[in-house]
Amino acid sequence: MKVSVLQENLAKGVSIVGRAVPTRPTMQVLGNILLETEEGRLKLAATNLEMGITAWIGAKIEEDGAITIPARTFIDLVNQLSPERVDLTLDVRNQMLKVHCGATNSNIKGIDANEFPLIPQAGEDPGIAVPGSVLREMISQTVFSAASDDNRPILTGVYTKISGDTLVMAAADGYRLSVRTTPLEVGTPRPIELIIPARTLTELGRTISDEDEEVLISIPQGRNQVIFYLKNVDVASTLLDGKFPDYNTIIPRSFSTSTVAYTADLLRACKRADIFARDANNNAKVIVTPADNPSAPGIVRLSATSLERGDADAIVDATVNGDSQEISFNVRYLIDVLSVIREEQVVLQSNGPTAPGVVRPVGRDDFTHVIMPMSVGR
Amino acid sequence: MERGLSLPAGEEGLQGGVFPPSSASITMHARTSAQLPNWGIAGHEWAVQHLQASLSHGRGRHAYLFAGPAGIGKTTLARAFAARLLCEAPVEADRPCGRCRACQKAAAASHPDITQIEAEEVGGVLKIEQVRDLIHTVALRPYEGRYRVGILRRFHEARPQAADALLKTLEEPPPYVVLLLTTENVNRLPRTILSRCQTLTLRPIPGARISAALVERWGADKEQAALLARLSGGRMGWAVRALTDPETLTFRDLVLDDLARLLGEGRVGRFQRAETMAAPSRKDDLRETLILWQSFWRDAVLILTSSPVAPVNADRRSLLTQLTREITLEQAQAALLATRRAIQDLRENVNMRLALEVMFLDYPGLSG
Repeated sequence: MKVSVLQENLAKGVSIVGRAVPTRPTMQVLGNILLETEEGRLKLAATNLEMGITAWIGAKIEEDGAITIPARTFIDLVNQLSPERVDLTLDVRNQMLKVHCGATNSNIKGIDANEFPLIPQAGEDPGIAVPGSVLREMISQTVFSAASDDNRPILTGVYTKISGDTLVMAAADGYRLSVRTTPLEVGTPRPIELIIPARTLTELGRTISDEDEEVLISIPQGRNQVIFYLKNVDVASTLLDGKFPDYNTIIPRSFSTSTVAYTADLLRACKRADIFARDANNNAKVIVTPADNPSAPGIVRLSATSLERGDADAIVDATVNGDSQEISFNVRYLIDVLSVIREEQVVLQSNGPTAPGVVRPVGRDDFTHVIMPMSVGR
Repeated sequence: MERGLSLPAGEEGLQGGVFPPSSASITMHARTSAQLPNWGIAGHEWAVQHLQASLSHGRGRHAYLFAGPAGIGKTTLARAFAARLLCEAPVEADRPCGRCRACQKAAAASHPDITQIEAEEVGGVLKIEQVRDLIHTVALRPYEGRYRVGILRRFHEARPQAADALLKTLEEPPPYVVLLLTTENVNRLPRTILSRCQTLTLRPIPGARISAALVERWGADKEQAALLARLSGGRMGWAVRALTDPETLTFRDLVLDDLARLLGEGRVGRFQRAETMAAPSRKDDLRETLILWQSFWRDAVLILTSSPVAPVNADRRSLLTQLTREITLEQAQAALLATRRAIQDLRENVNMRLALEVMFLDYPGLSG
């Protein structure tokens, strides 16, 4: 292998695929990045067997070849090189990669590329197109609701369903649920259901850049994987197996109280309450009071108390329809959901202190978040 | 879209049982099998046949426990079983073929669908984090094969919490998962684990099989192979280790010489020895030492009872003869029992210096 690339391209490429390198590799070769020439470009790839990221960068290829190189060493080295041409030359006999850039010469010991696990490749399936910015937002609005422990492995994934011309993503951890939908320009005749690990989607969300106008979602033959095609980057993920709980039944359909408030105001109030709620299992009381007379606004009060450190009480103006309510929520959950809503106003809907509450952006019906209240022993 | 997208998995194949029904092609192809004879393992034919038969009748289990002494071939069997499941040979009767990509990766322990966990060192602890990582991994669909195989070595070293964490997965793993546990001692596993696995207890491999395998596969010379086979006590893994790592045999020589010297010494000398042997850094050595001494005392008992069974340490006949002339059967039996108890004590973490002192008191004395 003998190729020349630009340092900035290489640095960008390795930083993207580096996200898939496991911190504790179960096999030595997984700690490596694959470098392979492919149709006039240099392919970089890494995998932790759960997620694989492949990136292609423009290169001048004099001789084809492939090698895997320890990721940490290579990334550190590439980041320190001066921004000019980098020549990579592989000595096949001893599997050493010579890295030449300006006045710097380095040799890195590699492992045979054949030992690297196959990363799923494009099949004939053309894939389903989703605008990059939409997918990125969908991911950010769902992944935080997925479970972080493995007690129920299925909940560590994001349920993804493509049926007709709608894409649905949903995640739940037993205390909260996020459901986000988007229409597709070109749908699929047969419905597809996937459960994609949230970890992968988090990385995918970071990888999607503004240049990615369109992301293709593809399920190759074998059906155990899903691949997202970005511009010059592929992210492949192994799927979780099992049946995702039927979340539709837990979304309440009617409410005794609906409260509309400004997102930013409510978020700030939550963050203030959070400072004191930390000592009390993140418990914050949300007290909703309708207006006394038509000219005055309704009120949302957020209060949190720390036995050792004191308390906070924040009041936000709101439009309240229905009864007054007093509900305890995990304030971190409120912060999580309010942080991913870009609309100016949100609506908080509830049915009393023991029923699930719903948070939605005002003016659109494609995002729903359900939070279970905390039960407070009295 | 012309081709359309495929339905999610679970609609086909794996649903009926853990294993897909054996393909009809077995009966149709009347040709010699390309399968590796006995899955490429020396010995344990009955276990291989049992597993092979249950697979080809579609009755494979999702969890097996391979039990038997260290080095007998439990992990080897587990890896071969994994290769059998993951082999890419088109005809099922040919699996494992030993030649395809999957078989070679399995042999090189680099197959992405085989996950192996074990305590960091022999006698250490299998941590709950390792078990949790495994549970997370097997919740994912297979990476490139049809199955995900989890190998949990020396599961008796798992902390109770780690064993408990595994229960749910062990009981109801996803349909493509096969979990293979190994243990040296079934009695040290919780009943909740045992009841969720099918247990296969591996028996010692006949000495002749071991020496033949050592000659054929590892290129040992006949004489050396015969000695190792006898010493191995039917443990293929031990024999291979002794062959490839000459230190194993050197260590044995040292240990047996040591025993001869000790028997000539009085109480003071023995107690000094107990103190150096009990150093915590030498725990592994100590276990091996006691096991070797145990085999030696067993030989003494065999000779004193004029048993037809050949002594294991036949190359140490002069010491054995001298010993059996000077001590009685009762003394030899007492020493054998004392050694066994010390091995037990070591496992149960008692104060090893005291345990060794007690053992040495039960050892007979030898004149010069």
